[in-house]
Amino acid sequence: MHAPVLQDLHRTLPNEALFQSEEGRRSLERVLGAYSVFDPDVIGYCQSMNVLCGGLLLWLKDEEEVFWTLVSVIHQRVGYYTKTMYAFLVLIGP
Amino acid sequence: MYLEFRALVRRCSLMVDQRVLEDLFAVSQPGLRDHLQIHGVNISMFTVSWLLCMFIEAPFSLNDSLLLWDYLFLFGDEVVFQVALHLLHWNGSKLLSLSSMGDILEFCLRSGIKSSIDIAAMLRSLLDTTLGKGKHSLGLT
Repeated sequence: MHAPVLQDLHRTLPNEALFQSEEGRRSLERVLGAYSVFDPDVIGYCQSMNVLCGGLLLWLKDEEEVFWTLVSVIHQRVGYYTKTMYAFLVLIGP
Repeated sequence: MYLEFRALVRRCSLMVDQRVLEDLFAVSQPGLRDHLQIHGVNISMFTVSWLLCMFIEAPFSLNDSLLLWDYLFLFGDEVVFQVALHLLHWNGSKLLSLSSMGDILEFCLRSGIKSSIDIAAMLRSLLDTTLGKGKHSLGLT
């Protein structure tokens, strides 16, 4: 499994009961893992996707629905979520 | 060359939107913007996470952001810009009373911004005034 995904599991909406439980973090891991397989070249995984995914999981419950909603949210905003966070590099850059 | 440029722009659309938001802010609330600029604060320091996380986590509570997402899915990204500008506007007097970069950033990042906002009322007023004009067929009452 993708190391950055694992790193972020504990940081995702830490105040929510769902993500204080092992079960909640496991579903987060499954959905984000599925996404990184689904779209490995363009994004794979980037920080802040975990927050989106966490929010969706709280409301939709069903992991498959969460996955496809996440896909459509991310694909609507091409260029927001990127592997290397170019946008940040440019913002921070000289 | 053109395609490369397109690819670059697409990769940076977050930054582009961020700039658009900055410009809208400068035009609509020049006083507040000058105040922030004097203290070295650029709104992208905290609005990046609003845009990326679609307002989950900060600055709203989860229940409020659920309501916000309904509007977001219905009306599209315009909502993000409108809400961001409104948040800054509604907290304008508080922000103007803060006079150091640290205080301002602390206020914005540690969600001091949310406490005074009734998001349902804010979204309703957005709906009445600006949102979705030109989309008559939605059948909203």
